[in-house]
Amino acid sequence: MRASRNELIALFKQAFEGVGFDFGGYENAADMIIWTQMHGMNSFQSIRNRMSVFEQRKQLLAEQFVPDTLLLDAKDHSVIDAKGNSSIVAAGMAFDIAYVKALKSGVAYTTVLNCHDRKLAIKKLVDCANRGFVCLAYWRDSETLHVITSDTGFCCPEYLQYKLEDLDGSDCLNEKNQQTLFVVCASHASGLQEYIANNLPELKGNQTFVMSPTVMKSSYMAALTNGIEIDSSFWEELVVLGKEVLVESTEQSRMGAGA
Amino acid sequence: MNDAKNIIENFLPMRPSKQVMDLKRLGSMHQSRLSFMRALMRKIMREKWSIKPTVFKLDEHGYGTVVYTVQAKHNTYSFVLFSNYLSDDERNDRVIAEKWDVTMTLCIGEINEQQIADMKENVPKQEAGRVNSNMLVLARGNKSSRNFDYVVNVLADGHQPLMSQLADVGYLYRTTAAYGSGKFGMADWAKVKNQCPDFSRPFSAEMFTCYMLRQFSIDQAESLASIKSPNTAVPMDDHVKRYIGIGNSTGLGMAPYLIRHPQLVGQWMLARETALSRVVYQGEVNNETLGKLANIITKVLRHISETKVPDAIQTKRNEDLYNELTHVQEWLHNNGLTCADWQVLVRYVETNCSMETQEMINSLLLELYPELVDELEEDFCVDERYEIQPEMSLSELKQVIENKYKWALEIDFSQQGANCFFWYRSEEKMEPRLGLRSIEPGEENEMPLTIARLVRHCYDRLCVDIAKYSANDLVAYFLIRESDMNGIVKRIQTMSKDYYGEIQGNLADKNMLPLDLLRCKLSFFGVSKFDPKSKLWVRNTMFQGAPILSDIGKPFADDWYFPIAMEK
Repeated sequence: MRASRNELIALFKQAFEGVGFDFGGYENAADMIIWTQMHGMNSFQSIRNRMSVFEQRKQLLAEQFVPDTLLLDAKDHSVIDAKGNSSIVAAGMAFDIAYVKALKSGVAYTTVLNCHDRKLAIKKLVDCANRGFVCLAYWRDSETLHVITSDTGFCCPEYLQYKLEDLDGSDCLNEKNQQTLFVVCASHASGLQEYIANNLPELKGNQTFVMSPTVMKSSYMAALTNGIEIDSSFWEELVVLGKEVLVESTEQSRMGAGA
Repeated sequence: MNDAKNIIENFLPMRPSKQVMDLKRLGSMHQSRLSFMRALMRKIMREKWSIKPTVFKLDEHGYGTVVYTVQAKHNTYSFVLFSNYLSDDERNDRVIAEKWDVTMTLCIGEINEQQIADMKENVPKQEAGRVNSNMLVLARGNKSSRNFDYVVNVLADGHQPLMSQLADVGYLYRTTAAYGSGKFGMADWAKVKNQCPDFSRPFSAEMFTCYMLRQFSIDQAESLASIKSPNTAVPMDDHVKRYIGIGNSTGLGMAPYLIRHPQLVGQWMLARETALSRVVYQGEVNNETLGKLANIITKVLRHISETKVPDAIQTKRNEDLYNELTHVQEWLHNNGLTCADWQVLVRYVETNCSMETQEMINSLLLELYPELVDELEEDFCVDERYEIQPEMSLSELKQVIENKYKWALEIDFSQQGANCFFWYRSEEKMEPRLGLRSIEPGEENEMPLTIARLVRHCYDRLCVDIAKYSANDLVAYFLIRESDMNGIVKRIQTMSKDYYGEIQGNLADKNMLPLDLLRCKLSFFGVSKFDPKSKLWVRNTMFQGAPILSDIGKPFADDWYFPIAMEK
């Protein structure tokens, strides 16, 4: 089935509210998912795979993001422990911390440990880039290095993939990096290039996939014009999650609507 | 607004947000020439839209399918309406209704038989159906049976309806919902704004759909009269057609919208207040403008005298408005020429009259200077963006709250009654409802609409955090420690840059009137004849007095507001 952007944002907001996200948090989640989907990066599949985790989140809330989440807070580098959470929760704060540090130091980066759904960080990268900074996010899975950069001169970023086995001398395959998200903010493009030269020599390797800003933009326009495709059973799953925030209707409650 | 306008505007005093955004004042607002219906009619008339029925298949009971093809300046659209049987006991104006006399849609382009057939499967189902991204609006309406039957019968008998009867109920149909902005698979607002420039102002497609229902109601009544009595039936006179509006029922669903879109509301308010400021400080007071205002007030007085509503409170407000306007008219007659500018009148009214009259005078003053006002109708859109400023220090955030949300901090939530209500969504069509806290179930699912209390909560947590850490610490770190404050901090920081936007009232207070919220939005729409049916929903009339289709292309004075019943 096809649905509109507004409709899906409302649906995801309500679903995430239903699984216990706070005011602000569920809006964030919906914005990140829909932005990523509309720009051609198929966020629906990865989020659908994780909805059962979100459903358990109510029980986990008390353990989330207590002050010691910020493991390291140095001059131009921070480390956040996402504790197995989605980048829906962690990417915003990672970029915010990198941004406030970059305001002073020119370049700053945040390492987010134990973070899932890292592709969704792209929306927060775009938001941060809109503050006038150049931004980078990257992560590695078992076979691939994923890189998103706003340093494109366009309104949309660029998404690149590199095959890890093609890369030389990298420690990127170790277990520690498997669920880590790296985000970088720089006040100038030269600062970002310097960071890449020092920290991402892999980028000299062979690209296996490129999604250009133009492709992202045209994907967005097509989704806006024709609607966004969503599996109807996923839609129903989200509707069910969202029902948690609805209140049973009674004769008395009908009075509260002006009957 | 462009830079030049901003420079000029910077020298014009604007009313303070504390005054403008007071909930009671918002509940006293009236339509103005910046209202969406007024702006839409000017656009249709200026651009000479062509609107013609291209399918009119109604049976002898008025049931069937009708399509009007609309050639606007930039695109062609189709207004498609399905008229079906509805028994009297099924007729319900509430959101939770599931059947209606008519259902309709406005879609992009001309449509064929197959598309009409597809629409017929879904449009009558409304929320329960699915439509597509070529559709801009999905709406429905119910007959005002008494009035409709009366009009059909008198036309069939060869007579015209009595204007006095239409003055009591000035419509044949009521709209009970007009959905847009992507609901049920329709086109997103971003698409409408970018790809349908004819409807690129907020709610203009929805307003147009209501306008078309009004046209259909007239056409259907004439058609039925002709079928009923082909030998004696007469068409409706044009002046009667113009006096027929479209009824509207609005309930609580509109209230959350205003709270959730403060930037948009702020933009609407800014345009209206800019217009008022221009008129008050730049409009010349002279014999001509005084005479024009006197004539307008005379017309409004008659409109008020013809407005009959059952609600005792609204009746009293209308009586007070009538008496105070009469007094203001006399005062103007005696003192008008001594006024250096319109600010003298505004101050006099603020000192001597109710808010209802104050806001009426403000609206009427805008009528005097279209050249100062009308261009502002282009300023009603805003790209809403709510953003965290992580670099802000906690001391600055605290100061922002103390300065910009002083009104919220002044509310004592420990007082009995300050937390009386909670807003929630019912499982019945997700209808927004108001519950009594601690008495009705559902409090744990309260919607975050009580902004004042959320601000107070944030402020208290911020003060504790500052004491524990440092006032120089940054918002980025506060939101790691207090991640559940993300939503309200984002709102506070964003809205601190807007002059208007936040409605300054406690939406959980026992004395809060949801009607005030509804009236604010309805006044921007441009409705008249507010007829409250409870504290939670209101009937009103849209497009009464507006030009009819045959007026398009003729000279247009744009003076159809506050219409009066004139026998031919």
